Amino acid sequence: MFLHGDLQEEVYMELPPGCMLQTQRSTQVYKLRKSLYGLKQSPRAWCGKFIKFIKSIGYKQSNSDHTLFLKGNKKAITALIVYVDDMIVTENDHEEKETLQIHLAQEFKMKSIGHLKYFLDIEVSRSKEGIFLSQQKYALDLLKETDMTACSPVSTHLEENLKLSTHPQQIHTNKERYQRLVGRLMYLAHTRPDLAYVLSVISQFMYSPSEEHIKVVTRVLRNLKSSPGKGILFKKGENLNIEGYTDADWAGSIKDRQSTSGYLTFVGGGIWSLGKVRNKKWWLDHRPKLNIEV
Amino acid sequence: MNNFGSYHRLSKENKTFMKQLSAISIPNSVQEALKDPKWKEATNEKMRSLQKNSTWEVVDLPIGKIPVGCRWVFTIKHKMDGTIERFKARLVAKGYTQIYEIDYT
Repeated sequence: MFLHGDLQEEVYMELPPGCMLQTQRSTQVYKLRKSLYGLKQSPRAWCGKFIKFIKSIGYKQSNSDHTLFLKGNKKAITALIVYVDDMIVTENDHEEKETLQIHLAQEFKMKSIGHLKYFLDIEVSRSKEGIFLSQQKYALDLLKETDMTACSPVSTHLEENLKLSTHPQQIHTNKERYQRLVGRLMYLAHTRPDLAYVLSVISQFMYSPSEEHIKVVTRVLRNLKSSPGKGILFKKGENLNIEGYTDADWAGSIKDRQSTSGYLTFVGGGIWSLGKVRNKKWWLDHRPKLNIEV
Repeated sequence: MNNFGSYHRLSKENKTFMKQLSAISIPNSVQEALKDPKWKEATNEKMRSLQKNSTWEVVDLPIGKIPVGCRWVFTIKHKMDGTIERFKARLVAKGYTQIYEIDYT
């Protein structure tokens, strides 16, 4: 699929090893017309080709997310989101979906593989209750990779009243491994927002992790072991209202008197986004707009 | 595999999967692959599909141009239950030898 991109530049390639034909001279090479795996320009060639095609059949590229393409009006809409050559299509316009499928099949020989089940390590399951997103396989693979499959589970991510810091006498731990593990956990937070707080703590020590810090990461993994299948449920029947919550801790930091505020948004009862802002200026600028009491 | 673990705690599907993993080796070089008819066929199949898609044309190398190298990468595609779906050969260009502003911009 990836190979469909047309190459703009002049690229010559040696003949593939093991496939030399008797008649070919040794000075002969391939001049590439289409992109091939491994070339520096391949991803861009594919992206250019796909965008040109999808726009030609009436889709508009979203400005907030460049991988999202939309077609339709207020009544009927079709949305397509693309990751390299995997895509998700959703719509309330069945006819348009079928037209799109025919186009994609003709142009790129793509085929529909039915209901969304698995995308970028996120598992999607449907039931009478609604749609459930989880990363169980990802979580279990992470435990396997860290040799934690046989560990004893714990019920919380963090020890109570734990204060972490760095100091010059600390016993350093393998920095690459620490950063990689925190990164792996960050990806898991897509369907595990309960990890958000502990991630905000452990990611502060990425530049200089110690034995003490890696212990916290290990504890997070032990907690993960107790419930690798947890995720987010978007309940059926609940309307798709967007609800937002926010809270603030005015000048709460002992160190620099900065304020911390947090927000959560829900769509149809399932958590959609969350975040933390730790900046006095941001808070002062936005307080009047948000109309929040502190 | 036998040296590193035991089979008895794996589920049935995992057992077949692990056995197949250990039974078939993936060739590291094209010389190795061409000795085995199934990998040879995978290579030929890929060449046919690349030619069908008119991925390239054969030309004499113009003076002053440097061709990029390429190599074969072999993989086994598995079905969900762990049985083998097909043997796959992929031709990849050694893009890391391309130089910015000379080979691409």
